[in-house]
Amino acid sequence: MSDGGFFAVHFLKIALIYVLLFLMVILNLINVPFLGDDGGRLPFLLIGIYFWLIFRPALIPYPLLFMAGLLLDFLSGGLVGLYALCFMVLGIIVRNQRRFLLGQSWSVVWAGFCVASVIVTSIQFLAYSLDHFAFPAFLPMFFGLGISFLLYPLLLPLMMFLNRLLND
Amino acid sequence: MGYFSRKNSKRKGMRTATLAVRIGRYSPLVFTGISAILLLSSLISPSLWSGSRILATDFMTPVITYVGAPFRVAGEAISDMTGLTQIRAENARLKAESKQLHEWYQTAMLLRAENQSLKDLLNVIPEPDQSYITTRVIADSGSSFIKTVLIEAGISNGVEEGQAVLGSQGMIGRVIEVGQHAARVLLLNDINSHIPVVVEGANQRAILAGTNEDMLNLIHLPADILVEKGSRIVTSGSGGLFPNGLPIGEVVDIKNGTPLVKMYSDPYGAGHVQIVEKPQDPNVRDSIKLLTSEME
Repeated sequence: MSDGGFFAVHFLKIALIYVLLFLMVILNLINVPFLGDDGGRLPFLLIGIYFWLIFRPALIPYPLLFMAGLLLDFLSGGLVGLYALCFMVLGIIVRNQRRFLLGQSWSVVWAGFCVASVIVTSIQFLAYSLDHFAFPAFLPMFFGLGISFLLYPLLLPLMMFLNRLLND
Repeated sequence: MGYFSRKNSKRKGMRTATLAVRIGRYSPLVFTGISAILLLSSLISPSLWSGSRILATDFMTPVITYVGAPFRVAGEAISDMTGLTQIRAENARLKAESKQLHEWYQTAMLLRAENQSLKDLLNVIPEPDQSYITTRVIADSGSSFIKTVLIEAGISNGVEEGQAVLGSQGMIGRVIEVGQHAARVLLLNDINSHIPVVVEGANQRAILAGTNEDMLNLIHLPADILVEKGSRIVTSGSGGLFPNGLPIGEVVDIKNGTPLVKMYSDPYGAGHVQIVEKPQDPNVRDSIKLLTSEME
């Protein structure tokens, strides 16, 4: 393959990751009817960001994290800056821990994701407690966390496949 | 001269590169700081960012509609499949209900005629006409902390801020932000939702407050008022924001003296919703009709 062709293919592969991340922003807002109305949301974007921050941190620079968070803030109709703050905190933590996480089995990386989900949900819980001057309902929050934990292993094969595609 | 200008531009380039490296190094802190400031401003003044929010939503509406379409179809298919077993039982129930409703229809027609003749006798000013805008729900908030949905209709379709939004069985929320082609609806079960209602039967006014959960709280009721389980809750029309009499739900339980209300319509189950256009004086409506016909 010529140099030009190689770069074109590599560019397409990277573009695919960004398209996927963009789709994840939108999918975050799609209601899944069979999950019920109590917090049955699928945190696609959180999973995407966490995975790529570990395996391809160069693809997710801080300005991009900030912009993705801000876009989700605007589209979700919630507090502006909240998702941006959550993703920035997540970015800082995961980047500091990625050397450790890279050498671990997938179950440890999954456990890391569970911790990340808890951190993000806690930040949101605090922000909405301040906003409402009352604690939000706990049950939908725990239900949402449970769904988030279970979704990660389901999306992992697709992410691993894309990661291998980038290596080839 | 050429030597000095080259050296100068080289220095400038070095300075820019150093600045870029510095910004890169501090970017996590800078962006975290900006996010925190945005969040603080949003907490202090929630409406501060509504313009930008609506712009972003308007811009992204076509994308959300197309990306979400397969998921909506899949969701509907799954709920259809799970419902197959219940269809037979529901069919029998609907047949019985249809028979009953036919009898009610005859009674309603008689009462309507009687009501009209009494109104004519008393010379009652007619209620303003009600019209609806039917549209699709394209997205929700994606968070369990906020209960809002995005609908595919905006200013261009006649949607206005404050309009009541109905599901299949009753009211589910109200429009809080409107763009050109999309609008955001605050659901009644959101913690920020408070609307004036009437308890039918007791004929008592109260406020229906969201809790971020399935059940809504009926608050600001006088202590001596007894609300029974099964009482219907409808909009009171106070303040003129919503028309009166829109069904919302019924009292299913009373906890610590606070009646808990279950909505008739599942706010998240609604694929399509109806927006109630603000009541308009019939005379104004006639004038608008006359003006538009003259212009044509």
